[in-house]
Amino acid sequence: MTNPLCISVPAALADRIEADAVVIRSARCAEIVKAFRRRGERIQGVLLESVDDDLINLAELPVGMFMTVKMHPREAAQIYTSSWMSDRFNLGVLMDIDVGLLQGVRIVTSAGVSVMLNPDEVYDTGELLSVLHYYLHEPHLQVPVEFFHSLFNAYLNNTPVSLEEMYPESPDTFLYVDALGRISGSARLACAGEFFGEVRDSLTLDTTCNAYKSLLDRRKNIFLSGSACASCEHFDVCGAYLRFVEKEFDCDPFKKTFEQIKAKAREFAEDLSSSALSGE
Amino acid sequence: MFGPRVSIIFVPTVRCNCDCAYCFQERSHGSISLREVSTVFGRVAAYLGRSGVKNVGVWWQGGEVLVLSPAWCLEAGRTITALMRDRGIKVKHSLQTNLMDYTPRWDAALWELFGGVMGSSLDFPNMHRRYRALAGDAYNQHWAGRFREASARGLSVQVISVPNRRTLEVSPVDFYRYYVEQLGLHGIQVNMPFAAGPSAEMHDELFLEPKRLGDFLKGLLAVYSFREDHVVLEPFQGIMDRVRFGDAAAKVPCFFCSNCVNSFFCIGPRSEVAQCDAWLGSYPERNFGSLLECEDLGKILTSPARLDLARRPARLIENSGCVSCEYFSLCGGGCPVRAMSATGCPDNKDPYCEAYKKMFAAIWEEVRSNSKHRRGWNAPAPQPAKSLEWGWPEPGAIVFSSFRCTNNCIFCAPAYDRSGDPEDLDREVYEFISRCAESGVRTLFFTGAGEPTLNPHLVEYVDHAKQSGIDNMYMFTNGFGITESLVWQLKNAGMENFWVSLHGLGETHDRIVRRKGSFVEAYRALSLINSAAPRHLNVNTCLNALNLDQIDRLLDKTLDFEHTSAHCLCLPEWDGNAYVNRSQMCRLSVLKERLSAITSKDYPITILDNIPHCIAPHLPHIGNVRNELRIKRRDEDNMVSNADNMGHNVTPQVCFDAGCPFLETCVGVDRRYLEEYGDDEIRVLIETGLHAEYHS
Repeated sequence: MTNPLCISVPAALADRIEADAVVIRSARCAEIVKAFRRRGERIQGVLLESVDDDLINLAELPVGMFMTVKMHPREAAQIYTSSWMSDRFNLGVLMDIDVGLLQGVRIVTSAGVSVMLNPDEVYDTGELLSVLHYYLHEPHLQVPVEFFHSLFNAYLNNTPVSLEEMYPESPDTFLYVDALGRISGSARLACAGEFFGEVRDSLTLDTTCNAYKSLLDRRKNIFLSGSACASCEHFDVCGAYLRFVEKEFDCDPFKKTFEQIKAKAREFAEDLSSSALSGE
Repeated sequence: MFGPRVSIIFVPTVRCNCDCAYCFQERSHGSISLREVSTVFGRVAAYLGRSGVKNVGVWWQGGEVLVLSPAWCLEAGRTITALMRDRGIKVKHSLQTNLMDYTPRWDAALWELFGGVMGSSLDFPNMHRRYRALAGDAYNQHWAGRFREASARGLSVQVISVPNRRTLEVSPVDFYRYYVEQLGLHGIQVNMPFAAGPSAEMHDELFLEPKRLGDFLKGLLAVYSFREDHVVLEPFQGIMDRVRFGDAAAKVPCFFCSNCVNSFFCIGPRSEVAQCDAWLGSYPERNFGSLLECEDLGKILTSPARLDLARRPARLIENSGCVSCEYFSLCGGGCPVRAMSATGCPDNKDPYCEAYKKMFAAIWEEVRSNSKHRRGWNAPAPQPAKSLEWGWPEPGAIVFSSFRCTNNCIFCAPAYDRSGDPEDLDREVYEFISRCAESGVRTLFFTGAGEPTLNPHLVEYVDHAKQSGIDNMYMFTNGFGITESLVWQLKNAGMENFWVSLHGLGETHDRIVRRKGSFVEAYRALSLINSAAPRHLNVNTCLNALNLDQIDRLLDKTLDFEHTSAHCLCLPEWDGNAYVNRSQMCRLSVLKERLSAITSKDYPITILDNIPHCIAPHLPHIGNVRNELRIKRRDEDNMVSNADNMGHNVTPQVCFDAGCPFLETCVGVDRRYLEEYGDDEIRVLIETGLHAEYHS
C-alpha cells in the first residue's frame, strides 16, 4: 500500500502548493498562523522550527492539530513553560542529537510529550545509548521515544520497519519544498543540494534526474553501487539511510542502538511467552 | 493558551462564617455583584470562545459561598452558563463549602448548579478550624450534623483534609476509619498545609516535618490499598491511575500538574485574576490584572506576572535537581504557592518534596506488587459512547396503580379533574395484572393517572406480575417516595426499567409541577435509581414555554448519569391542565428553533415524542406508533390503539397538500392546537424546514 503524498512547505509558500496533505513549517509563529488563516483546510500539521518565538501566538491554531516542535536538548524546558500546547495540540518534539540529549529527552517525556530523535541534526552521539537505556528501563516513561519505540515494536512483533519509513524522503510519499521553492526529498537532502523539481504554478518534478531516481529505488541502487552498507547486518533497518547523504557518517552508535533494541525485544518476547506459559 | 478544557476558580466572596487559624484569605466583606459577574464572565467567555475552548469547569470557592443566598448563586451560575453557552462552551459548576451553614433551602441551587455534589473541608483531629464558638471536636460534630442532613437529602459530599501536628500522632488506620467508617464519606483528598496570607506567621506551627508527613502518607496508602470499600482517597488514586494509565486517565490534584498556570486561573470578588485562590489570598501583589479594568482576558493572561509564573518549571529544571528525580514526571516540582510560602520564592521546589518522594515510592511499589491493582496494567476498556436505547414501543398493558399525585403539573391531563383512588383499587390492579398475564401480555407499564409510589402495594404488584410470567416492566415516577430501599425492593421484585419525570432545572421544574422541592426529589430519585444500575433509566421531559430555554442543560444533566439510556422530550396532549394553561404550552415554531441546536452527536440519548417530524427532522422520533395497548381505566378494561397519539392528533391538510413524505411516520399535530392556532404555522414550518430539506 502506498502512503498518500505529504508535502512539507515553508509557511510563507503554503499558498502556492495545491495538495491535499500539507505540513507547513516555520520558525515564526505568526507566519504559521497567517498560513493557517489562508489555507487551514489543507494543512495537516505544523513543524515549528524554533522555540525562540513567542509560542502564545500559536493559540490561534485549532485544537487537536498535529504539531511538531523542533528543538535542541537545551531548549527542552520550554515544553513545561508552554504545557498548554500538549493540552491543545497533538504535540511531539523533534530533537537534535547533541550534548544534553538525555536531559532533554527526560524533560520532554516527563511532561508527557513524545520525542523523535532527529537524524538530520546529529552533532554528538555520546548520549544516544544513555537515552536508549532511559527508554528501555525508566519505569515512569509513558510516551514513545522514536525511533527506538517503533523499532522495538517491530522486533517484538516480527514486523518490518526501517528508518526510511520513520523519516520518509521517497518522492512517492514525501516531498520537501525549500524556502526558494525547490523540491527535494527531505531537509537534509535539500541542504546537500539534491533537488528534483520546483514550485512554479504547480509542483513540477523532474522524474528523470538522478536525485529523483536514486530515492525511488534506494535499496536497489545501494546494492548496485557496491556500497559497504549492502553487506551491513543492519541494512534491513537502516537501508543506508544514515550514510545516504554523508558517506563517512559514523553510524556505529546507531548500530549499537539497533543491536540493543533487538536484544531487548527478544528478551521481552521470551518473558512474555514464559509468563503466558506459566499462566501469570 | 489553553487546551479545549479550562478550569476557573471562582471566588465570588471572601466573606466567611468561619475563622480558621490557617486560612490564607484576608477576611473582608467583599463580594462580586451580579452585574460584575455578567461583565467579567462575558469577557472570559469571549476570550475562551475565541481560543477554541469547549469545556469550562467553574470551581466556586470562598471565603464561604454559602454566606451568599441561594437565589444569588443560582442567578450568577445561570448567567455564567448562559454566557459560556452563547460562545459554544459547556460549563460544569463545582462547589467547595465548609458546609457549616448548609440548610435544605440550598438544595434547589445545589442540585441545579452543582449536580447535588459538594466539596467540603474537615480535618482530623481538628486543630485549626473554627466556626463561631465551635472549635476542635465540637466543630467536627457540627459539620457531621450538616453532612448527615445533606446526605439524607441525597446530596453527595467529598472532603479535603489538611493534616496537622496532631494528625501525625494519630495512626493512619484511625484517620481512615474516622472519615470512612465514623462519618461515612466515600471521597477524601489529603492536601498539605502551608502558611501564607494572614496565617504566614504560623509557619512553624502549620508546616509539617516532611519525613514524618511522608511516613504518615505511606501508612495511609497501606490502609487504603488494603481496603475494598469503594472509597476514593486522593492524591493516591490519581497518582496510581497516572502511573498505570498515563496523564489522560488521571485526575491528580493541582499541586502535581506539570504547570498549573496552563490549566486554570482564578477570578476573585473584585474581578481580579490570579493563579488560584491561594495566590489570590496570600500574595495579591502577584495578581495578573482585573477583568473590570481590562476587557481582554488574553491581555491579562499574557501579563508579565503570569508569564513569569509560567516559567517556574523551566527555572526549577535549571536550578534544582528535580529533573534527575525519578518522580519528576509525577510531581513536576510540586506547588509554587507552597514553595513561595516556605522559601519566599515560587521557583524553588515544593517544601514537601521528601514526603512526596516517600509517597510516590510507596505508590509505585503498591502498583507493582498489589495483584488487585496489577490487573489494571491492561489499559482500561474505553467507555462506550452513550447511545439511545428506547425501551417503550412494544405493545403491553398500562397499570393505573395510583390515581393520586403529589404534583399538579401545568400540562397534566388527569390532574385537571383528579378524584383519588377507587375504593377497590388493590383488587382491580391484581385482577388486571392476572388477566394481562393470562392473555399473553409480557410488558407492563406502571404509570397513568397518578404517581405509582403513592401506592404502598407497588412492590407487591410488581412481584405478582413477575410471578405471573410478566418479565418486562416499566414504571414512571416523579421521584416522590423514591428511596434507596424502595428502588432495591422494586428491582428485586422484577422492575428493571424506570422513567423519571424531570421537566426543568431547579425552580423551573418546581414551577412546572407546582410543588416546591419536587426538583430535588426527582433529581435524587435519578441518582438513587442510577446507583442500582437498572436495565433502562430514562428521563421524560414535557416541553412547555417555561423550560424551552434550558433543554440543553437538562439534557447535559441526564447524560451525566451512568445508566441513563433515553431522554424523551415530549409535547403533552392538549387536555386537562394543558388546555387550561395553553398559553404556557409550546408554540411549534419556537420549539423548532430551540431543537435546532440539539444534535444527536451532542445528546445521543435524546428522542422526541408527540412532536411533528418537521419540527426536528434531524432528531430521532418515536413517531406514530400503532400498537394496541391494554388499559384498565376506572370502569373499563379496553384495548386501545396508540395511533395518532391515541386519537388526540390529526394530520393537517397542509401536510397532504405539501406532499410531505413523512405522513405515515409523523405523529401529526394535536387537534386542539390546530383549533387554537390554525394551520398557517404548520404551512410555514413545512416550507421553511422539512420541505426545503426534502427537496434539496
